[in-house]
Amino acid sequence: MNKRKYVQQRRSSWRQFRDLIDRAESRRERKRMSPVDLADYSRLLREVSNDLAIVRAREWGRELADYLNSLVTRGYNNYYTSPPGNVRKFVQFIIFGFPVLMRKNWPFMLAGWCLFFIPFIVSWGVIQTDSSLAVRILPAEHLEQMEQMYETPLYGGDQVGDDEEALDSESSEDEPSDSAVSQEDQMVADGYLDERSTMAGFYINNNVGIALRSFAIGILLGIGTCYVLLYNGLVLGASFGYTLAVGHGDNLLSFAVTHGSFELTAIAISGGAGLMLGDAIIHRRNRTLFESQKVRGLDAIKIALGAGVMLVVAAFIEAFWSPAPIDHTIKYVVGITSWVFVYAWMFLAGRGRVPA
Amino acid sequence: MSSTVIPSQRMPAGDGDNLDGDNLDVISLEIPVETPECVLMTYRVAGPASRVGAYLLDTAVRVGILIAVAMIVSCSGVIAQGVSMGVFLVSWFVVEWFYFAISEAVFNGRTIGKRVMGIRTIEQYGYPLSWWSALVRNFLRTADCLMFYGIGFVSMLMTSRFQRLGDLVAGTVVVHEHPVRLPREPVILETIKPLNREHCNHFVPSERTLSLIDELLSRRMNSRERIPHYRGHSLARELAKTLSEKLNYQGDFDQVSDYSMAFLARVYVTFQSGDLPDAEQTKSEVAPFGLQGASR
Repeated sequence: MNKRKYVQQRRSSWRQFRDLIDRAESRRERKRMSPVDLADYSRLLREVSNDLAIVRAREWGRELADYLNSLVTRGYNNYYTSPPGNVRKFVQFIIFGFPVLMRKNWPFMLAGWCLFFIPFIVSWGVIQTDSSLAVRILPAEHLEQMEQMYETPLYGGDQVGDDEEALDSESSEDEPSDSAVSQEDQMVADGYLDERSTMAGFYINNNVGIALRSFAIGILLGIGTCYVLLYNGLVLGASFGYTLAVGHGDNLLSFAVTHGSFELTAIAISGGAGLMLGDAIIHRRNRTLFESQKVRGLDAIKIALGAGVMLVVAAFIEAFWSPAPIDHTIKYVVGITSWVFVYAWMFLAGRGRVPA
Repeated sequence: MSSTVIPSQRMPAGDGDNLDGDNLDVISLEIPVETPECVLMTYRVAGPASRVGAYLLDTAVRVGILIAVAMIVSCSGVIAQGVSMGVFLVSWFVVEWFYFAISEAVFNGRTIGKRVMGIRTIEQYGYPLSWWSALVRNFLRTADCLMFYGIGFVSMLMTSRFQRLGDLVAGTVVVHEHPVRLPREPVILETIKPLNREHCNHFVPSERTLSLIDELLSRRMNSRERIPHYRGHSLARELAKTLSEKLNYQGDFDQVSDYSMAFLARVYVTFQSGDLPDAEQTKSEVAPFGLQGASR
């Protein structure tokens, strides 16, 4: 058996396999493949793999080996496709798998939570007792603006509730919240729901973006993540403390209490996921750097995605429920319920199930 | 580092004269993957240049999508301005964060830009990209793109497979997928005279040597990468001389040194038929392993 005879003999199989691959690669054709085609595909994949091994072993030249190699790689890639994603699984993951995963990685979640909520509570407490300190954290015009904003209830008259909220406005570079304010001003005249939809879009775009970004830069040893968490904690705490000290606390708290449960917690969680990435670099636990990243990175991304979903929920609450003209008492009740719900879910959901 | 070559996956390195350099122990852009069929296949890693090209194309596509959405939104804005604005902001968010992830996951590792550039993202053990990996590598784009992708670029230079941080965490590589055609039939030069067996000893050149000659000659014939004949002769000269020494060739020496390709063609014609006079030598010459598979 020499090369020439071999090629002549096998050539038709190779052609057939190539045609099958072409069909398998196009989405429409793939559905039309008959069971016989599939059996052929599987047989030919093994045959061509064998051919490749023979050609390599007998050293029949690079061109031939390259050709067979490209057939095998393409064939292999189509043959062992990963199972398609599926919505039901995803929903199940978010409801049960996600809290389980968070509890499994609780030290990071706790660290993220502390990095965000401790500065938040401390700066809130300090500035509420001595509001003159607020200038050290927030620029004066920002404070003034906030004071105006919460003078009246958010749904009152010409006041359009923009959030001081915007966790970000400063920390996110590419999407300053000012633009959203001006867009919003133009559409005050429109209906409530209509106008609120814009804000929903804005909150999703902005807050989820911040959370994902603080997660992603966690890979740089977690430094960026720590910064984002501490910064947002301080600024938000200062805003709350100042508004309460000036005496508009009721308007602000009734607005923020409901969506805050999801939003603030999710920011802390996504930060925690970022810390997991950073930690995977520092503590490798007998793995190589890359292995360590790969093993722990999957958990981290799942948690970050869960936090993203929480933020989308928060965005809808923030846009449609929080500024609604409803009695403050009801808002507080709903708000506190949602805090209890979020933490009960995080601590209890999915017990006894295998981590997703 | 678990990176490039796991010992068991090494290519069988020829132990004799390594004439064609088809050897993955040397530094190369090829990564070997062993399939469940127990065959080594290799992927050629894509470098920064083609990936930047794909990225720019994808960026253009993303901008295009956003412009399209903006146009639709500005039309529907007449009816419900706020909702349209909200839709625009959400689609901005989706395009910013999920364009790459979704299109890689759905199109088996190829965004539009990657398809045009002929590259594909795969798992580093050769499997097709999974949803989670696609999400990981593209969420971490945020970290890689700091300083105009400086971080990703440095990371690519420091890893043997050109992986940026997102690739490292997701365990993925970006590989080239160049279309390859079946090489033409080996050149059969019917008119060429075989060597006169009386001028040679019983040496039989290896299969590898013969296919090397085949590749050289067919490349010479191939119009696309035609080699001028003097260049072809000078490329062939070393091999021709070595072969003539091993064969202890008594014939026309001018042909060996001046028309080396012609000599090699004659060697090829002499030995390519496979039914060689001296079967014993053939066996010892080829055959590191696995010959039985050839008799299909």
